[in-house]
Amino acid sequence: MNTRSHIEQLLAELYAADPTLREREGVLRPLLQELLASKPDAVMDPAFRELVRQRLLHRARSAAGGQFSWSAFFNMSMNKYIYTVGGAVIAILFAIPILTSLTRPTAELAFTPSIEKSSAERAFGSLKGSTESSYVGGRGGGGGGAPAIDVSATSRPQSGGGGGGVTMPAPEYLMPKFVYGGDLELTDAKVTVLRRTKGNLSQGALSRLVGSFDLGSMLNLKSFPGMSVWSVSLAQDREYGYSVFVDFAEGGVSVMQNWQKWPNPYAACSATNAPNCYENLRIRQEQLPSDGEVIAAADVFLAEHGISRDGYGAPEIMKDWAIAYERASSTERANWYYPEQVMAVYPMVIDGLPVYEEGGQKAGIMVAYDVRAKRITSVTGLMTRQYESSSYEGQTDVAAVRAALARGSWRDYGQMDPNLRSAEVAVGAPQRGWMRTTIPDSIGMGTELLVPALVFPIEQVPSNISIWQQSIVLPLARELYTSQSNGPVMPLIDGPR
Amino acid sequence: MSEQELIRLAQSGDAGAFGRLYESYADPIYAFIYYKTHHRETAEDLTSRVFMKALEHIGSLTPAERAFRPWIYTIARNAVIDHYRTRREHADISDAWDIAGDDDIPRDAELRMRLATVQEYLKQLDPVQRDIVLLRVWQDLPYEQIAAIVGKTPDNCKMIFSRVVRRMRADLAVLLALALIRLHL
Repeated sequence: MNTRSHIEQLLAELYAADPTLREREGVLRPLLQELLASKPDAVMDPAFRELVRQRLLHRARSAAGGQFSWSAFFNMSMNKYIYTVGGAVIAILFAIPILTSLTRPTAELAFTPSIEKSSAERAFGSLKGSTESSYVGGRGGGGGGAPAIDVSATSRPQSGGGGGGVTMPAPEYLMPKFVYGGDLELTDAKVTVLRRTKGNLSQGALSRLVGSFDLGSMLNLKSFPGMSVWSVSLAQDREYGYSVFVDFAEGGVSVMQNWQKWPNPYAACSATNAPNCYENLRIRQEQLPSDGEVIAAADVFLAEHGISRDGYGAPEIMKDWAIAYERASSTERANWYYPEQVMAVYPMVIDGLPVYEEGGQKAGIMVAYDVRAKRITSVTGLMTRQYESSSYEGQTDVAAVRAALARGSWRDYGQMDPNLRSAEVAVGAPQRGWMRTTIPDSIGMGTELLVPALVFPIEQVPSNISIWQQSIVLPLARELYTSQSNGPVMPLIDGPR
Repeated sequence: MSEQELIRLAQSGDAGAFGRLYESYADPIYAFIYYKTHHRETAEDLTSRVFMKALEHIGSLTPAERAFRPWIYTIARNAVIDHYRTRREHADISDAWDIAGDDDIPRDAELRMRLATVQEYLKQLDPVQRDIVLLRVWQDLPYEQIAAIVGKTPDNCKMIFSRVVRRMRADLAVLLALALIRLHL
């Protein structure tokens, strides 16, 4: 209600209660205006609002003993999709009531978080996986947690091409050394590590349904008994349609634009070979949407498609390109390639704390917004959120943590090239969070773990270091802090001159 | 889904249903508490406690009285009173308006300026009168709900409000002058 109509209504109520007040309208109106003008600006901090929401959900679920309603993801309106295989058409009906009634509880994909506590310590074995010398890198951030650093510069001079070439010295590569100037206190003797339980429909009705299909002269699926459905791919046959990929084995879902049904702005360039065609299509700075525009579009998309945000925090815009832009020279900025997509992340939250990838980015639902089409093009990071927990020895060695911080990662690959110079990068006071990492099991499949961690925000980056990482994430489980190296790094060998 | 259905689901243990109730009421409850405490951190802390308490006692809402708004506001009101009365020197205090002086409790500095013109009038009211004014003018709640929150009848609340307004107009000249100054800013 706007101020004017609110005042009119208040006056009407006052006159109804005390008709004599009508004679004093000349005084009452400014009085009410003054009262309304004095109304404090009381807006709850969105981050705190979300934090309370997560705590409430966690408390409610703990009280309910883990009996949650099924994921909202399959509340999508997926009534009928057509999957075409080499001319044979298979209609797969995903009516929600049918799927819900047929699917056994053990085969459900639960997207709302739940944690089952294990009574055994170290129930997941080594946090480095079945073999120490091999590892599966984190899901993002450079695939292993090392700082995202521009290594295009070399420390060796390069010869120019052709006759009369001039040898230009390449910029010196500096190794960042991350430093926190404050006190660190590590007192948790034990930490709780979570292991994600993946979805499995091996005995589900969907497997039985698909397994009974006869593809005519092409293949008889019934001749392969005991099959299970590992993944399903669906696509919308319409303009600006989407494809949905459901990975039952991993317990994940992704929504992507169906490329065949979206306009390709570059198609004309390859067809006509017009000069500067690609250049003219580059995104300009003024085309970039505001953060609010992207978040609003993402919110609407998730809501429209029944994608639950339970267990996820308030959305944020990923600013990697903007950080690089801020640190770039004026020359580089003048010829900057602005992103064609802007990414919003709904950070995963467990027990009120955000989850980070090893590389320092927040983990969660990633929603991509196409700058040119002004539409959402993908939603990724939808994973089942069932976890088991187990207790592990906590890291209390402050020196070890500071050493890991200095190199920018808990992973220690042994001695670096001693000839490399370093430059200090200041980090801020750490916050608590979770580090997501994937370790190999005995058959090389990845097991996702969440380990309690300290997250150090990167604050001051010297101009001679190119880093687009925003934070250093260090786990608080002690056994992760042993060297993974098999020896010192071999010195670099000079190339031809 | 109606609020009644959300309450019913929340009472049966549906965490998501309670989450949606929280989404609907977090902002107005925070604002109400902020109007009464004048301090953001205190308002945040009390808002969190109010909803935790609501979660613990959601089962106590009977079918006949399943009106969430007056119930959550009552919890908020009591939370503010308890917050001040746990301090011995504020044993008879209901909210920040009752406390004289600027250094007794933490207050947001920008709020002092904002409330400068109406501070003196609102301080003179008793807690019930003041809550009726805040809930009606600043939060635009209908009298039926205000009545349920403060424990009076709707007609009684309307009468109280009209009397408060009648008293406030006493310093007419000052108010009008301030209003004119604000218009020209």
